[in-house]
This record gives sequence, structure tokens and C-alpha cells, in this order.
Amino acid sequence: MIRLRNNQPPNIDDYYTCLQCGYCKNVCPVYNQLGWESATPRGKVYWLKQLSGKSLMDKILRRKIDINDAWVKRIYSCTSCAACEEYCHVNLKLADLWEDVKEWMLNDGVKPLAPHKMLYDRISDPSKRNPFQDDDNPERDLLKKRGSWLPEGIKLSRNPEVVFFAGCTSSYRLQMLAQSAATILDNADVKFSILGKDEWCCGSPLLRTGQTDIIKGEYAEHNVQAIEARGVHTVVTACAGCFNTLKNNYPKIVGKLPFKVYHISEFLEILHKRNKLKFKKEINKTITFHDPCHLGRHGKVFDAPRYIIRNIPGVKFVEMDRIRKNSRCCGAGGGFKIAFNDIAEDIAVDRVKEAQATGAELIVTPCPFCVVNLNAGAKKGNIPLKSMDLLQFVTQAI
Amino acid sequence: MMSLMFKNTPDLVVKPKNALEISKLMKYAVKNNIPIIPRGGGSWGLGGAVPTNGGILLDMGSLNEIIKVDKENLTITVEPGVSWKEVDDIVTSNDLFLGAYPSSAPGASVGGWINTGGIGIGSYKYGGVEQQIRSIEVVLPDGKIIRAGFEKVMSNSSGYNLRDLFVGSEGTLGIITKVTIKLHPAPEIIRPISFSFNDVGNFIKAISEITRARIMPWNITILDGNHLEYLRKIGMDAPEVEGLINVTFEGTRAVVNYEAKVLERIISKLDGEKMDDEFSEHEWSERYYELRSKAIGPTALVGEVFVPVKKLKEMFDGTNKVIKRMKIRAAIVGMISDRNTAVLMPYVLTDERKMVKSLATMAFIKKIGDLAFKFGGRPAGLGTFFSVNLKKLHGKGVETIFDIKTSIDPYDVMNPGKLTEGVTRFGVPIPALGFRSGMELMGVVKGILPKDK
Repeated sequence: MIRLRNNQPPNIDDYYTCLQCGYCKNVCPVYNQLGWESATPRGKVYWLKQLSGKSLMDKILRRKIDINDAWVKRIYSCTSCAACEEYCHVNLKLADLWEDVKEWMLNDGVKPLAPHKMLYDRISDPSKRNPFQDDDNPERDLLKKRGSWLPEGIKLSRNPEVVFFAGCTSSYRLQMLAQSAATILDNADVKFSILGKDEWCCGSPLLRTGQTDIIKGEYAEHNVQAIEARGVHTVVTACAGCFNTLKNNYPKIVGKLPFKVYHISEFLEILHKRNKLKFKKEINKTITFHDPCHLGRHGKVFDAPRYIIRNIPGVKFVEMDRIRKNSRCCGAGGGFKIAFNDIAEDIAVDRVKEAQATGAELIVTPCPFCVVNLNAGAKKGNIPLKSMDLLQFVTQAI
Repeated sequence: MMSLMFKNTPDLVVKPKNALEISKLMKYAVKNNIPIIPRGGGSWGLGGAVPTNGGILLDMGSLNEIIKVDKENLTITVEPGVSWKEVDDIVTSNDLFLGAYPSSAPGASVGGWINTGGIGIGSYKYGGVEQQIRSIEVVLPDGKIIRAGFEKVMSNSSGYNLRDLFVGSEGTLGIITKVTIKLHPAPEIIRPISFSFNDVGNFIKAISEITRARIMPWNITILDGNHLEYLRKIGMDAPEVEGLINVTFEGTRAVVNYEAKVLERIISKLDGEKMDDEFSEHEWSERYYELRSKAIGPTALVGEVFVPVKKLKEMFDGTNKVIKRMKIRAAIVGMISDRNTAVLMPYVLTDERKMVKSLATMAFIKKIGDLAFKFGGRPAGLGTFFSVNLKKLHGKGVETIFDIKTSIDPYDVMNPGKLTEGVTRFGVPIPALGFRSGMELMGVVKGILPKDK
């Protein structure tokens, strides 16, 4: 049992509004793997309701309504994919609710899961400000190196119209994605710049896991100011997580943003329509597309990446059964993979199987986490179907 | 309150893997006199899957395999934990067609709908759940695994229809472990058309005339003015009218076009207005979401009654009178499930956190049940509370029902406290007369309390 300082979880009206209809159950990727009602959104809401409405009757019947480690684990057993919200009978804002509940728990005496705590420690470290470290030299100042992914020969504009927000994963781990983005922008004569060491983690991993204080208190404002200081009205990011955070979370934290946030796929669509981006090489392959949850359901971007893929000559485009708003999560999001890698990969196996059924030779998706987890899923499920980031795919066509 | 009367937390939850495991468990339960409560999607409102006195809850969600799509014989065979929406999705992607499914298809399980004897979307043309299934596999309380019905052909012929015995049995006779569902060739088109009415009289008359015309819609849903008002209240786009009829056709394009024309003629004579395609499509996509506006309550109590179509006017008037007298916020939605059966699901918006008020509001459910009886219809579903209606529903037949129950489950381990017996955790039966007069009293109390806002 965990002793809470305050037994009143947030958004109590939601618990009473919930119909317990279970429409959220079968679409929950984690429930699909675990199979226990306690892993379903409605199961969690049911327990929160009991917790918030402890009554005299509970005392008479000696019913214990508390939370324990198992329950905390259940609350974190969520990929923040928001499929539950899509199907909710009574329009509950469930994606927000799970984040609010985590925030409440942590503020109320619950300890974060160890891997999430590690993320927090690194992101809050002034010499890092990102979730990664140099494992050979953990003390190394990585922030200084933040912009070192930039390919030689690409000149940043002194008077930019666009800021490219690279994100932590592309800056430190999958640098090729940031490099592809910069190359494409450069080829299309876009006057752009990057934030370099002024770019701090957007905060997505912490906001999704309830560890919100530094993001709400400092990081969001810092990033917004850094972008504003470059005098641009447009920010482009190639990461679905950064996109969702900048577009949907930041306005709630700092108010209306002084710039517009685009996902790179939206920006590429604009460039292609203006004839500034041309696909010169054919890719003769059957391609299917996976909607990243943070780009699709959260960010409402469904068409732009499809437009890009369809316009590459030679591509045969096929859709999976569950797409767009009804898309099935890859399993990586919301801090889930780092805490529950096995289940995350099992979720990916299911998604890759769905892709395989289309006859596609390659899965393209504009999210580095989805790519990594879908490839892990393919390996685990022994399915010969690779996933590739949209940027890497586009680079092959120009 | 409920937990004082019932021990509704199970002692154990079991996720069975197959019929054989369930068979072993049944034998164990009988030997040790432990209640077994099967639970499907858990989407019903009458407590069919809630224990009344602890026991082992069988979470049938773990039996969720799609066993086979048989295109040659037009069937799909599934385990009972699969949701009806999933069945429909798979059937559709195989270029086939499922005739009817519950309006709670995203949550309701195949086994659950059979056990509640459901009617739903498409029942107008294709009948209730019993007409969607070919055969079922059932584990009986003694552990025997039987097949009821025939996988490839109809069950109709002489001999007791074993399959239908389990339809609507609320899990009191056995555990369904496999179901073969009947399918149809895919239709050329599915076309929803919505009509609005400014006059309640015409709205109800139109419903009745549609059922008497030689057209065969796939589905007919009706929504009253209060329901539409609540939808507007939560920010949804609903017309300011007294009633909405959503008709959906499916089939060959030429036939659907002809039937739609006949329908439009009926509606226009009664001053109904045909809504545009976008609106109609939206209404169709909302078919699983009857309680969208629940947040207004935020508690909703939902009734379900069957009434003859020709008594719809009386039923609407009677229900609205009750709403007024009880000073509650309530609306009527429903569907027409065959040419003479209207299934109404009136719901009340209340707030369970205000205990006296919300308890008193429960009388509404009893009252609309009484109205349905009065007009030659019946309340639907028994579950935990309404087993007191069994005698009223079946008269002396209730003894035969008891005999059936006793002969199949002499040990009374199969979902005790449901359907045939309303029993509290202390083994004390819920007395029918006491239950009814208690409900009546609550109705009076609610009428005295201030009006719900």
C-alpha cells in the first residue's frame, strides 16, 4: 500500500461520467497484450472512482481502497496512444486524464518508475538537457554538442524564416534523420536555422510520465524564447513526439505561441506543391504507412505523409486495416517502451503483422520511436518486414 | 448501497484458455459449491456479470480467437470473448455481411449478446441474436461440453431447440465457448437516411407507417426531442426538432434506391424533413453512442422496454407524463426491431453522488416497465434486480423455467442470483411485492423533491 497525502485524484467528474461501456477496452494496445480488466482505461477509471469516493460503507464493509505498486504499474502501462479517447462513448479527454493522474500521483507521494526517474535526472541535468548520455563518459557535457549533427556544407541562414527543431533522438542517436531533414530543406532553398545548444528536450518523455515540474516551470518557456529569438514564424520538427508537445502542450503551458508548428511531413507537402521539392528517383516498392499516435490522433496530421509517399514515382501505396484515427499503436510511446520493453515489442509484433497482411515490402512512418519499435517487433515476431523513417525514405527519392 | 445487499466483488477472477479448462473448473465449482459468474464484455446495465455473493468470475475476454471465416458456407466461427465490432470488421474485410449486431458492438462480446438474448442494429431485417447464430458450444455445470445447433444449416426441425435455450439465459445454464455466426453476401451499398419532425404526432405516425409499408430497411433508430437537446447541450450538432428517424438500407443499389423513394413519400406526407447525406452519414456513424450526453448527469439510468408499434403514441405520452411527475431529466431513444416491436431505451440523467435523489430516480425504470406491460409489451432483461418480473412475464410458465434451471444446474452454481432468482448476499430473496412497492415509494419521493436542473 502506498500512503497518499491526498486521496483526491484529478478530474473526478470524469469518473462519474464514464459509462463503463468498455468501448476503450478492445482498442487498448496494452489490454490486448495483458488481458486483464485492470489494464483497460475503464478499469483504471473504475478504481479511480472508488478511490475518490471512499464512503462510510467502505468502512462498514472493511473494504480497502488504496493504491499499491501494482496499481501504479498499471497506470504507467499506457502508451499514451489515445485510442481509448477516440472510441470513448462520452467524449472523455482520456489522454489528458492519464497524464493528470500520473502528475497527481507523483505530487502525492508516489515514486516514479526507475527508468522514468532516469529520464528525469538526465533531462534536468544542465550539462545534458536530454534523455541520453555518453555511456563511456556519463559526466560529459552533451548539451554543447547538441548541434553537431549538422552536415558539413549546409549553411544555416543568418536571417532564417524557419527553425528546424531537431529533437533529442535525432540530435544524439539517429542523427541521420536530422541530417536528412537539413539536406532536404537546404535543397529546397529554405532559409533555416537550428537552435544548437539552445535546444533543450521538448519535455515529451516527462510530460507523458507525470514528471512535469521542470518542463512547465522552465523548459517550455526556454524553448519558445529560443525560437522567438531567431525571429521566425515557423518551426519544423521531424519528431512526432516533439511535434505533439510543441503544438499541443506548449500553448497550455506558456499561452499562445508566437510561431506556427509544422511536422516535417506537412512542410514537405508545402514544398512539393510549390515545386521546391522534386522527386527525381523512382522507388519501385509496395509501401504501407503507419500513423504515429502523436502525429495522427494527437497532432491530427494524417494526409501530409501519405501525400509525400504517394507522390514518389514508382511507389505502390497500400493501407493497413487500422489507419488514421483508428490506427493501432506501435507500442513505443509515452515512456512505455523504456519501462515495459517486452510488452512494447509484443504490441509492435501485432502491428507489423497487420502491415504484412497488406503485402507491403516496407513500412514507412515519420517517427523515430515507431521505426525502432516496429523493427524490434519484426525481429521478435520473425517477420521479414522492415520499417523506415519517412525522411530516410524521401532522401532516396531526391 | 448495492454492496450491502450483494457481495459483488468476486473471490477469484479466472481467465480460461479453452472449453476443457472451463469443464474442469465447473466440476471443481460444483464439488465445492462455488458460484461461477461468466463475464463477457461487461457492457450490459443490469448486472448480469456482477456476482451477488462472491465466487469465481470467469473473464471470457481471454477466449478471443477468430477461429475460421468459412466463405463457402457463409459463416464465421469465433470464441465468445470477441467483440461484435471485431466480428463485423473481419466479416466486412472478407467481403461478407453480418446481418445484425448490438448497438454496443465495440464493447459487447459475442457470448454476452447471446446470453442477454439481444436485439440490435439490423434486427429489423435480420432478427435478434438467435437468428444470427448457427451453433454454439457450451460447457454445462456438470462439465459436459455440448454443441447446440448446426454449424452449416438451420436448427429448425422437430426436437427441442437446445441452442435457443441458451439465448437470453444470462449465464445461468452454462458457459458458451464457441459460436458459429451466420453471414450474408456483402451488399452493394449501405445507405443511411435521416428524417426530422417538428411534430411528435407525425414523428410517431411515420414510424408506424414505415413498418406497414412493403419496404424492408436494415435498421430504424428513433431519437426524441429531449435527446437532441442534450446533444446540443454538450456541444454536438443536433437539429432543434421533436424527433429524428434514422433509417438505413443495405442491398442492391437499384432496390435501395426504390425503397428510399417509397420511404421519402411516406415521410413527406407527414411533414417530415429529409436531412442531407452528410448529416445522415454522421448519425449512422454515431449508432453505437446513444448515451453521448451522459456527462450532463453525470449518471444515467437506462431502461429497456418492448412495445407494440401501434402503442408507441401511448407509450411516449405515458413516459413523458412520468418524466414530468417525477421532475426528472429524461429522453427516449430506441429502435424498431421488427414490424410490430419498438424497443425503447428511455434514460434518466441524474447524479449518483446525491444519494436520495438518484435512488428515488430508479423508480422511473420500474414505471416505464409497468407502462410497457400495460400496452401489451414488456420490460427487457432481468439481471440482478428484475428477476422479480419473471412471474409477471411468464405466468405459470415460470415453473417450467425453474424446472429447466434445476435440471441443468441442480447445484445452483451457474451465475446464481440472476434471472430465476433475485437473492441477496445473505441468501434472502428479493421479495417481488416489497421490491415493487419500494420502487413506487421512491417514485413518490422523487416527485416531492425539487425539479432536476
